[in-house]
Amino acid sequence: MIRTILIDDEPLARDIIKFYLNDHPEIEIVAECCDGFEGLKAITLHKPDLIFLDIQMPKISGFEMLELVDDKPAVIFTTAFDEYAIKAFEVNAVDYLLKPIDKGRFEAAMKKLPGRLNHQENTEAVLDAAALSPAQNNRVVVKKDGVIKIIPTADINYLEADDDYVKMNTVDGVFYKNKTMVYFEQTLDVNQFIRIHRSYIINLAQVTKIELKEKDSYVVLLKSDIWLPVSKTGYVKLKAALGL
Amino acid sequence: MTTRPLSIPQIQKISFSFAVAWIILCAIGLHYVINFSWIIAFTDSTVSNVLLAAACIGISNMLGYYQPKNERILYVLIVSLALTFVIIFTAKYLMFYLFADFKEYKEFYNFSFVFRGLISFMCLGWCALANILWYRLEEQTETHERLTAAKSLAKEAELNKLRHQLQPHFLFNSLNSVFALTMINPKEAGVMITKLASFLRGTLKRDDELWVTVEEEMEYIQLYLDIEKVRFSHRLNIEVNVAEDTLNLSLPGTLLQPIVENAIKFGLYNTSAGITIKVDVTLANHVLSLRVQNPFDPEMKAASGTGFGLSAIKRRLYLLFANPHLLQTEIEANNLYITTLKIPQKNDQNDTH
Repeated sequence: MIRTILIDDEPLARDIIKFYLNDHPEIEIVAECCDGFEGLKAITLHKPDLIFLDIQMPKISGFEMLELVDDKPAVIFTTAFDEYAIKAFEVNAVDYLLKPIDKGRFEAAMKKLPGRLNHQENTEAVLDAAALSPAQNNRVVVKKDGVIKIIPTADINYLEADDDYVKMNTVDGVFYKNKTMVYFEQTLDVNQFIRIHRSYIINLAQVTKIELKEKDSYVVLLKSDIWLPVSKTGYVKLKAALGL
Repeated sequence: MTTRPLSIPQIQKISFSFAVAWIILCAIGLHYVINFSWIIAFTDSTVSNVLLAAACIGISNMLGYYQPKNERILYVLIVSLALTFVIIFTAKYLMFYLFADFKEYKEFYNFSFVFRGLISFMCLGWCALANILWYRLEEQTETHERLTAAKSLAKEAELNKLRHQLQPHFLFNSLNSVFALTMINPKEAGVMITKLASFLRGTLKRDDELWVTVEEEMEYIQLYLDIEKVRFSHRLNIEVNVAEDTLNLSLPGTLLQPIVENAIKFGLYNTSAGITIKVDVTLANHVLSLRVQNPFDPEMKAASGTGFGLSAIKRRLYLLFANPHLLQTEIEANNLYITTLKIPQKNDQNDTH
């Protein structure tokens, strides 16, 4: 049995998939969810093999929800109209269904399914691409103590590398995200965030002063009263960004 | 191509009258002040002034072909000077040839030669500068007109774009819902298809008509709400109240729909339970007021980020009325989010039929 969850905010959109799945007795629908929060809960609870995931949904998008799932199931994306996402799917050869969902296309996706059930590398690539989309690059979604938190990027004070994680120091406290510094360097607005050091990315709005510490070595003071080291290349970038 | 000052009938008439008057005045002066005979006075005045007028016309036309930039204006004065010499010498030899026997006149002419030169140069110089100014103004008016045209085109394009910004998601999701209904509930599917068709027809119609009546707009909104109700089924409750006296007022089409769309989206973000969207249309102090109310989750609001719906409407209102304060949002107790749209009523816009 392939255990499956349907996640879509429109009941009829779930109905049509259920209708098609009537012809697939090997699939068992264990849950239906109408937003990303519910979806995340259901995935944690049921540990499904497959999810049908809508992208445009209330609260958080399908992509943002998927970022928070640790053991990712196989995913078949469904979308009405999202040029950005479709490009990401095509580039990374991930299955997606366009609404209205055509039966032939649906069956083709199901046929390819067995080979995909345990290979989620492409899904990760799609998520990284989606993070660059205009709809998503002004906020970061994190999970802390089982609670989902949406952080507008403007609320981020600075980011700090921390082993496999990035520690996000925000207005609302500290959060961890399982991504690399390079990922944030690429997805955050370059006019707002500057990587000043191997281990630090700062929000420009937080800078209060820059001081020379020793020869060729600078430090920056943030509004939150924290001193951070600035590397040589970081200093050049920082100076350029501040128009000095 | 710029218009030449001398091609305008009114300027032609005035210049001609002025030239004739000036010729007569000069002749009278020569006759009474210097005591020449009428024939000499008139011939002198006519010859000198006709030559001067011809030079002026020449300069004006030349400037029509070529307008000097600031640093080249000196050249125009040099040309004027050269023309001055040409006309005063031509006049001199012509007059000396005609009145070769009048010694007294020759003496007077030689005596007044420099004075004549100065007057001619001043006239020509003044004429040249006046023409330069004229052409500059013409050019400026043209540039200004071009800019205004370009701006209004850009504005029209932007309005069109803003009007269409919100459609594709709605359209494809609705089609998907209809598609599902055709298999699950064919009868309902038929109803939904006709509603969708009417709604789309309304959208297309609105491309041609900027202003629509409240009555029309509310029918359109009702169709939209009916479709949304099918898409989100039991989760969506809708209350619409339209004051009787507003039905014949008018508003720009498709402003309200994105606001309602926004309200539904944020309302549904709030909860997985049912929500109620309220739309109230009233008239107060000659201002049409459209109030849309939806519940929301205060935590989600801060992080909602995109919200492009409302900023697009703000931009449209600004383009239409040059007033950024016509769209207001407020938060009431018990987490109700209110969006109020105010449309000033102009009498001439009330009649859109």
